[in-house]
Amino acid sequence: MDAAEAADGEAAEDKARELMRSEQEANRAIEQYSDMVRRLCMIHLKNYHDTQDIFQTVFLKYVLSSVVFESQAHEKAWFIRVTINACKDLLKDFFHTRIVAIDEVEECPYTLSQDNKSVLEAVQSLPPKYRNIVYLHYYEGYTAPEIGKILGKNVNTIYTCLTRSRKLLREKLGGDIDE
Amino acid sequence: MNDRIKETFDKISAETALKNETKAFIAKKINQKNAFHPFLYQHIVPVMACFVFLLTGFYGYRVYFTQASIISIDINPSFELNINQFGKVLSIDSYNDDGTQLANSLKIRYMDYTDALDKILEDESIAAYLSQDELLTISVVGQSEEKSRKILENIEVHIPEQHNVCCHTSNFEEADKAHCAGLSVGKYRAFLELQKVNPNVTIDDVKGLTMRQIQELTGISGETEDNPSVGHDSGENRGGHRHRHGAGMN
Repeated sequence: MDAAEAADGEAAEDKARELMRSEQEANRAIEQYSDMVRRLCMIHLKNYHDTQDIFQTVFLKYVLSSVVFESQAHEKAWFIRVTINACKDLLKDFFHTRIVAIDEVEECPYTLSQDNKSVLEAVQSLPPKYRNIVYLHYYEGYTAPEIGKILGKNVNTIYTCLTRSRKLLREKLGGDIDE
Repeated sequence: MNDRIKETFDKISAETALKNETKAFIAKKINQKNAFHPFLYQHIVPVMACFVFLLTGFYGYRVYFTQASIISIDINPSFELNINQFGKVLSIDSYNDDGTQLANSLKIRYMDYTDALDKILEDESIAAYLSQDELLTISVVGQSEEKSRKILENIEVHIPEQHNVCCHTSNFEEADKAHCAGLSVGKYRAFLELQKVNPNVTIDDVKGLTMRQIQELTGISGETEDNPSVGHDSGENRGGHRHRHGAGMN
C-alpha cells in the first residue's frame, strides 16, 4: 500500500467519524427534546422501562444519523417522527405485547390534579393514531398540514382524525375542546 | 379544554434520572464509536469480511493447485504425477503413447498419491510389464531433499516386493532439463547414465525404449550390492535413494 492509498484510507475513516454526532450535541438534544419525547412516551407506553428503551433508541439514532437539519423545526419534527415510530415498533414487538405484566404498569410519577389525570386518561384512551395528532395539535401547536407532513399522512386524514378525537374527548371530558 | 390539555402536558417532563441514564448510555456508545459506527457496520466490516473470505479462498485455491512435487513413473509407459502440498494428484503428464493411454484410463486426479500409486500398480498393463521383468523406475522430485525422501518412504510401503522396481529422488533443476528434453525425470536420468557409457546416444534414441532396454544398453548389472541395479544412485548430486534394484540382464 503506498502513501496515497494510506492517506485515502485515513480520510475515509475520518469522514466516517465525522458522520457521527458528538457527545455535546447528544447532550444538547437530550436537554432540548427529552420532555417532548417523554410526553409522547407517556401517551403510548405503560411502563418506565419501555420509556428508557425509547429514550436510548431515539437519542442513539440521533447520534448515528447523518441527517443534516435545515432548521430547529426540522430537527424537532425529526424527533417527533422517530419517537412515534420507536413507540410503534416497541408496541408491535411480539414479546413485548405479551410480556408486560400488570404490576409493571406505570404509576403516574407526576403530581397531577384530578382534572389533569382525567385529561391524560382521556388522551391515553384514544386510538394511538389520534393520540399523536391530539398531542401535536393541542400541545405542540402544529396545524393539520404540518402534522400531515410530520407523520407522512394526508391532510384530510388529519382533519378527520382531529374531528373524531374532539368528539371522543368531549364525550369523556365534557365541554368543547376548542374553547 | 385546550388549556386543560396544555396544563396537563406541561406537568409532564423527563425525569432527571432518565436524562442522566440516557446521557450515560449515549456517551458509552460514542466512546465505542469505532466499534459500532454504522458506516463501519454497514460498509467497511462487510466489505472486509468479503475481502478476507475471497483472499482466503484465493490463497487456498493457489496453495491447493500449486505443484509441490513430482512422481515420475517409467517402465514403458512414461508419465509423471504432479502432486500438491497436501499429497494430492493434481494432474498427469505423459511422455509417450503408452503413458498417454494409461493416464487417460486412470481416474486418479485429486487422489492421495499413495492411493494413486496403488491404482497404477494394479493396472493390468503395468502388472503385465512387471511380470515380463521390465524395470519400473519411480523418481520423486520434491521441494527439498527431505521432502522427497519422505514421499519416497511413503511410496516404498506401497510398491510390491519385486526385484525389478527402482526408486530414487531428484530435484526440480533436473526435472526442468528432463522436460525440456521431452522426457520424464526417470527416463532422463537413465539417459544420462547411458550417455556416460555411450556419449553418442541421443535423446531420440532412448525415447522409444523401455527402462529395461536402456538399462541393458547402459550395461550395468544390478546383481551386486556394491554396484547396484541401474546405477542411478551413483550421482552424488542427486541424493539418490534406492529401494529395489534390478535383477540383472536377461
